Amino acid sequence: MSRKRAGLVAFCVLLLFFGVVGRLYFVQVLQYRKFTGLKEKQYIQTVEIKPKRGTIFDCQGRELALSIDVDSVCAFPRQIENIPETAAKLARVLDLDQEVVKEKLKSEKYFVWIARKIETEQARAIKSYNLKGVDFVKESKRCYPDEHLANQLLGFVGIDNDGLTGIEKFYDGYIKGESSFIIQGKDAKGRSVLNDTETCYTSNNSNDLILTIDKTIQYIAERELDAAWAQYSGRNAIIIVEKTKTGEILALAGRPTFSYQKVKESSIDEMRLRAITDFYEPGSTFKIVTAAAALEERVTKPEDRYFCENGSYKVGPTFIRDHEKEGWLTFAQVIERSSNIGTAKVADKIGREKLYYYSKMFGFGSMTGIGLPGETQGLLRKPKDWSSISLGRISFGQEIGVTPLQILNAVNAVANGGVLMQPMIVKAIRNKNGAIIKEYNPQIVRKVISPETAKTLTEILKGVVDRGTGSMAQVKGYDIAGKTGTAQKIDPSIRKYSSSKYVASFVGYLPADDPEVTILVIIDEPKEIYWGGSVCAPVFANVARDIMRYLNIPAKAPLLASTKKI
Amino acid sequence: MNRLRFDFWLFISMFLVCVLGILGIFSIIYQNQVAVYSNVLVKQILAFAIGLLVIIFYLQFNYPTLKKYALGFYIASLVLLVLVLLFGTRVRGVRSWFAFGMFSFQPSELAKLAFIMFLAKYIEEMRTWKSWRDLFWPLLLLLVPVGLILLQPDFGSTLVFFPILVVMLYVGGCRLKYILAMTGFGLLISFLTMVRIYAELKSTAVDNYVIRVIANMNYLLVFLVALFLLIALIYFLAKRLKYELSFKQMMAGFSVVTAGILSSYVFELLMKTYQKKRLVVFLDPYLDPLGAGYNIIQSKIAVGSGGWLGKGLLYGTQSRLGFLPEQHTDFIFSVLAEEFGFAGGALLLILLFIIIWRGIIIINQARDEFGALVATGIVTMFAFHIFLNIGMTLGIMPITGVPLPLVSYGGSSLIMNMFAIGILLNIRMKRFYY
Repeated sequence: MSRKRAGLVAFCVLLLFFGVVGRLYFVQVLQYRKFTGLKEKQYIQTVEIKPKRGTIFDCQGRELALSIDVDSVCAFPRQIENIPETAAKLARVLDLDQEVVKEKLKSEKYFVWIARKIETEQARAIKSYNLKGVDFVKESKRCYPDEHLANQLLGFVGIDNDGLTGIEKFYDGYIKGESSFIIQGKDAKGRSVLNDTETCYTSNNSNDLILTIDKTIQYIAERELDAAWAQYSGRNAIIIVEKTKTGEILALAGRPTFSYQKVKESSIDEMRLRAITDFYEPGSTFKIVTAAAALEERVTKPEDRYFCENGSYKVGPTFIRDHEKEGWLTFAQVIERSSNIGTAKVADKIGREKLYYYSKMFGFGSMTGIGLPGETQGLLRKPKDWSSISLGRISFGQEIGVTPLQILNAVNAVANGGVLMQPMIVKAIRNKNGAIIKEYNPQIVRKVISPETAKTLTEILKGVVDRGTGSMAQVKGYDIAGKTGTAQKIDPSIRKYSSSKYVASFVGYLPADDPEVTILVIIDEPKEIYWGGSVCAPVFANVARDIMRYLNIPAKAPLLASTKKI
Repeated sequence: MNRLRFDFWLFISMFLVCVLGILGIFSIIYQNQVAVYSNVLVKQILAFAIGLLVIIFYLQFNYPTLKKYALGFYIASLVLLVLVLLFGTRVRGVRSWFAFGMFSFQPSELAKLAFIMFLAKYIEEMRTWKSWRDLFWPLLLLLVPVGLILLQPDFGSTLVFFPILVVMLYVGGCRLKYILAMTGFGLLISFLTMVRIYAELKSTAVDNYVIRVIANMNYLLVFLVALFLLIALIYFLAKRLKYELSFKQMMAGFSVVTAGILSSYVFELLMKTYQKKRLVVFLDPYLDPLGAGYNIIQSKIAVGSGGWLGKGLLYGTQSRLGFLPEQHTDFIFSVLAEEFGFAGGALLLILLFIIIWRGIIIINQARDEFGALVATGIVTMFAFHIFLNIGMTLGIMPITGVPLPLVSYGGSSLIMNMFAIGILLNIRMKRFYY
């Protein structure tokens, strides 16, 4: 044995020692910047904090749409121990296809979504399994407390909380809010490490929306619409309620509509806000516009008499027909009994330019600017494009395309003493601190007719309800001014007016002398009965009665009411 | 008297190293509230306490008594290695543990010490080295435990037996040419295997033509033939010029090269892909950045981002956030280096170096050959583990799963290593007793 040999061993060890210390110095001191950079690259992450969508309130501060935090299930496939078992459990709870889940769990990816925005009970069930590699992410889910209230109007949001239709879409910029970014530490599994967060703030810069919609009135409208829809079905049906003096829309409902439970299965037709996106030939309700023009231009007085040709009147190559054969009628009676012939004769006196002018002034052919997506301006041709029969036709609501909102708002102008109001749906936008950042005040668009003319016309329209075509719209204790409409539809197959397809409507306001609300009811292609006076007027009456009660509008003295009836 | 001979430096260094290890484990479990780590700290502290008791207990004895028990100790360790194959607990596919409830015991740790003792006894009695045949028994003593451990299979634990054998034979006076042949063979086989696997795993062609030659077995065989011819040429030329060259020695060198080449080829065939990756990934972690390379990359990031003074205890981001794998065992040095920086890492290295240095002094001071040889084996075992483990965490050694002695978590390993230190202390204390 040679103890000298231990010296060589010592020398080798010393060399190795200096080698390792040198390497440590190299990695830790000389390459410090490089590795710190690498560290930060994998340790620090910028996380987008999705904003929580603002709440939508009705005019009384009741929630129509709000966002709540819910769980989404995700998985880290590499951490999963038993794929078939995990997949089976997840699929069972979430009601998913087991094979699909299994494929996801077998993925090469680091992170996969299993199901987003699940129910609380589902999340609880999954949590109870304590599955390895399965985790939850809090996400904000849009929630509509009254599932069947104003669906089309409110619209809905996509999985990433973008407004896709309705108010959710139009005011997306206000209520969505901006993502905030936080810079934070993360661990090897990509989970955030909050106590290492360098700038952690949860700014909530989304705003709340306060609508003019009144939940109660909306409910009344929805309820009556459902009843009418059950009775008459048809292609579609609409009720709009406008606050006469301000132009605020209190309710807006349409059928058919979609369900928030089955948004994916719904058709575009069910989502569309027909009250503004579709136009139709209004029929007799448009006679209000003709009458307003005639009275304002003083071409006729209510008591002027017109011969109604016993129901058939040849204008140029075609005939204008009335439903009832009438002889001589006063102008007021022409409107009360909705004589097309009488109206056309009055229109002749008004002339093309004036009728066009008043149509335009009442807002036809222009968008109302209510602030909802997809609004159309309707169809109002210039007089130079009119044919020889156009004047007469337009006077009783043919050859013109109007949106339900346009006709409602025009009638509302008559109710409002001749002043056309800007229809509005949003009252105010409020930030999360409660400060109003934008307020919409009632806005006068223009004065269309004089208060006197409006008053005269209101008297005529009261007659429509008291003794004319709209008598089924009567509400005990209230004077109602209104007008029925039964518009023949063009049948595309014969390119003529169909004799079986109608749009029934009723538009009116009450109390007639000092109106609170203007209401429009439209049922497109009702089954069996098609008269506006029979189909829509009763619906109007039901809606109007409940609104009066809800708004505490005092009824007239009963005695006065009964005398008037006689 | 005894107090003077007690190797204070060795003991204090060992003590501090163990404390640093416990501190590292504390930092890891403090930050990771994971079930895996529950009890880890308590068990390590308990093992440390048992280790101290073992040292104190053992200092009451005379180390030469070990000679008496060496054979029994060796056989007992072999029996345990057989038993563990039959009754051991399988952890991650390796059957190397006996589990007793909360505690577990790894017989391969015991086998290392038993091998050192028995080999020391054998070499001491050997006295003279006459021929190659004298290497037969030492090699057999090595191959039996190594073979049994490979059956577990725990490749990493077998590695340390080879340098122990070579260095003990060297210090024991074995002829230098045998030592050179064995060392040459070992280095050649490691080098060739790594280069060949590196070339194989590298997806793009390697430009370096040396690597390309090594990677191709046909080229290597051509190289061998050429080498043989060259040797023959030199021999005959030398003979012509009347220089005496030993043909036997030249052929021995040639055989070592041939054996190295052929063994590396066999090695490559036997290894599984994951083993291959672990072996060469330190050359280029991005060969397998999410698998074997991940450990290296993360370890280097942890160490590298520590800087001069580190991030502070409990503030290591890489270890705490779970980027660093095997924190409490294989990569505990990275945790300490991250939190204590170069200052702390170098301090730990210096403490470990003091242990080895004192060990070498003890080799020289031992009163008999047996003591010197046992000390040699222990020193080699420590040095090899330290350099392989820290080299791995710094990306200059293959990933072999070798723990850092006295620091890494592991009760049997800690107690056995402390026992080894106890033996060193004993050899020093008893150096004047005859």
